[in-house]
Amino acid sequence: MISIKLNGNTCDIAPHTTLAEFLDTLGYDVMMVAVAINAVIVPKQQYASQQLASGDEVDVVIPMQGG
Amino acid sequence: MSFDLAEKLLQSRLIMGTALYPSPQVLSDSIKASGSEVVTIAMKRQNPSGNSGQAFWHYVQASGCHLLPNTAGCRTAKEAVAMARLARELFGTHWIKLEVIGDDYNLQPDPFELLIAAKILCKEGFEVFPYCTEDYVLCRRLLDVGCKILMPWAAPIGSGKGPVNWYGLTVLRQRLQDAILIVDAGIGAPSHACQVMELGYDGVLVNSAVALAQQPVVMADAFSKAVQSGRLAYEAGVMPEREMASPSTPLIDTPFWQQEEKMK
Repeated sequence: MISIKLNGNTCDIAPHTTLAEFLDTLGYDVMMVAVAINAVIVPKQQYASQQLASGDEVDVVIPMQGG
Repeated sequence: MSFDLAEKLLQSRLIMGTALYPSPQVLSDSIKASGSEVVTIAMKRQNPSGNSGQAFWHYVQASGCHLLPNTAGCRTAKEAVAMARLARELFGTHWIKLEVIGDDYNLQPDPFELLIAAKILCKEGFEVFPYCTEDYVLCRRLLDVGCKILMPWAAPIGSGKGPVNWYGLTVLRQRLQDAILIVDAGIGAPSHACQVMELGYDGVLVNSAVALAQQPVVMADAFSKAVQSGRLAYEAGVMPEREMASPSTPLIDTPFWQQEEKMK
């Protein structure tokens, strides 16, 4: 297992897990999120090929009300 | 009355915020009543266990409005730039309402960080809508780095005070005649919106004034009419103010008793 951070919280995942697999396992609707890894945005078309590495900091954001 | 905003031809000059509504349904009904074609929106970190916000997002998408994402909560240029890039990915738009807050008491923009962020984002192809004060020099600098639209405040966010620096807003409009100026923040009543539109402002953004009204849907309609009325008045040309009275009724051929009064 390797450790990453999701929105600031530590998560343990299997090595070579892709971002798409990670989001799917956690039940995210990928059409409703944007993701940055280590403060770099990951385009949706790269979710399936983007592997997570130990120590990665993953931020997942969704729309919310705003003025 | 049509309005060209960043290459989108709009019929309404009213932009609606989407926060603080009692329910997503009231938000949806208020957007419809306002006639607005642009709504602001924000982002938050989402943990896997939560699915909050889906109903809201559904209604916003169904409205068919153009989305204007904001960078609310950012305090540095670095944070705001990162947030803007995420917004572009999430919402598929290069429009960004750039907010960089510099003071907690009145949520005043940080002009220095704002300018840095605006310069970076303009270079990256964003259409930047900076939330700023009515300070002329700051606004001039924002235009210099590539902004075409400015969003000066009328008063602190959520205060509902209406324009607190009438002189500043008036001079800003007079001196920046080619910029798109949209008053953002501090509007509390439709009359405030009408007043700034009469000055020649290109549009108004409201959120709290509608969302916190006792009847938000009715208030959205009131703001729609106020913005239209103010714009029509600006286009019609408001008469010049005078220090002395001037009779509106001609005094020639008035009845005899008035003539007698004049003879005394």
